Amino acid sequence: MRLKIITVILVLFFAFAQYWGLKIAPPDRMMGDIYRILFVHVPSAWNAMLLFTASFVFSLLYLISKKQKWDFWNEGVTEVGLVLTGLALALGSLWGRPTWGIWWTWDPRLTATAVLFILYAGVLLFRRFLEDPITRAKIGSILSLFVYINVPIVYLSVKWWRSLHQVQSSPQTMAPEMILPLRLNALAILGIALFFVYWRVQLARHRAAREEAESKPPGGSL
Amino acid sequence: MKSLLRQALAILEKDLLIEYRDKSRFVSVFLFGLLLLLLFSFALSVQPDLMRKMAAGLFWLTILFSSLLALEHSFQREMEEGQWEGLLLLGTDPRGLYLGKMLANLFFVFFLQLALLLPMAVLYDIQLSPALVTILFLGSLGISSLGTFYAILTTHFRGGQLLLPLLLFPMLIPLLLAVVKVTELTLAHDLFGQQVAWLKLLTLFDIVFLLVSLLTIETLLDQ
Repeated sequence: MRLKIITVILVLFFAFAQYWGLKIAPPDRMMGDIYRILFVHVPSAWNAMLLFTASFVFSLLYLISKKQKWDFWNEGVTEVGLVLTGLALALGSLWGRPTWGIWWTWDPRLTATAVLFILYAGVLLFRRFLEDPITRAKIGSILSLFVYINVPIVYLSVKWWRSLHQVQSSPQTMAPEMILPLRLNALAILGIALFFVYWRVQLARHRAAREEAESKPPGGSL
Repeated sequence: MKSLLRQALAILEKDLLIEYRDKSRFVSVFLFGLLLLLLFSFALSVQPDLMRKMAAGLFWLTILFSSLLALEHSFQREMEEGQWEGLLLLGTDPRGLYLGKMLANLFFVFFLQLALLLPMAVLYDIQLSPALVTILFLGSLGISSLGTFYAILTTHFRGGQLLLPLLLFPMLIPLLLAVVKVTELTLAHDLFGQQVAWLKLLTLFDIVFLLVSLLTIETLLDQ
C-alpha cells in the first residue's frame, strides 16, 4: 500500500515537473520550443552520472565488506544508470537533428558518453556470464571500479575539448525561469530512477534466495 | 617486496623462454599486423600525403588488433595445461603473477611494434626518430598493463573470452587517443610544443591502469 502511494506521488510529481517545463517555462530566444527536450535530456545525464558514482561507492563497499547486499545495489544502480545514459544519448540525438542539422557527430562529449554506455553494457554483459554469485559480485565490483575512471572524463570532456556540445550551464548563465523547472525535473527523474533501483534490488534479493535454495540438495540434509 | 619482484621475474623468464623456443606465435602475430597495414592501404586507397597523415591512427589500430591476438594467446597455454592453478597453489603472490605476465606482454607488444615500424615506414612513407620509440614504449605499457588484467579476467572465467575486445577496447580509447595524437605530432614535427600535454596524459593513464590493476588483482584471484 505504501509503495502504491509512493508510485502515484512520483508519477504525479514527474507529470507536474514536465508540465512546468513544457507549458509554464518560456520558449528559448534562439531555439524556440525545441530546447524543452533539455528538461529530460539534462536530468537523465545528471542522474546517470550520479548513479554511476553510486555504483563506484557500492563496489568499494562490497570489496571491503564482502556483503552481498552491496552487490545487489551495485547491479541496480548500474542498470538504471545505463538506461538513463541511453535516454540522454537518444534525446540528445533527437535534439541535434533540428538544431545542429545532424543526428550524430563525433564530438568529444558525445563520443565519451557513447563509450561510457558501451563500457557499462560490457560490465553487465560479463556479469551474465558468471554463474557463481560470489564471483559475479567480485568481478562485477572490480569491473565497475575500472569503468568508473571514464565518468570524470565525460564530465570534463566539454571543458577539455571545446567543440559542438555546449559547456555545462550554471544558474548564472541560464534564464531564471528555466532553472526551477530543470531542478524539479532532475528531482522527479531521480525519484523515478531510485524507484526502479529499489525494485531491481528486490529482484536481485529474490534471485539470490532462489539460487541458494537450488544449490542445496533436495530433501534437506543428507 | 623483494620476493614479489623475484616471482615476477621468474614468470617473465619462463614466458620469454617459451617465446624464444617457439617463435611461431610472434611470427603469426607479426604477419597479422603486416597484413592489417596492407589491408588499410588497399581499403582506403588514398593519396600518399593523406596516407601519411593517417599513418599514426592506422599504425595504432594495427597494434591494438595484433596485441589483442597476442593477449588472448598469452594465457592459453596456462589454462590448457592447468598450470594456472598450479602457479596459484604454489603460493605465488597474485601481484607477482600479474607483474610477470604484464612484463612478458610488454616485451611482446613492444617488440612487435618495433618490428612493424620498418614496414610501416616503407609503406606509409614516414620518418623514424628516437622520440617515436619512447612513445611506442609508453603505448605498449598502457596496452599491456590493462590488457593483461582484462585477459586474466576473461580467460580465468569460463565463457568470458568472447568479451575481451568488448571490455578492453573501450577502456583503451583514452590511451589510444593520447598515443595517436603524440605520434601524429612527432611525425609532423611538433611546431607548437603540444606534445608534452599529451605525453603527460599518456603517462598518467599508464600509471593509473597499472596501479588499479595491482590493487585489485589480489581480490580477483582470491578464490
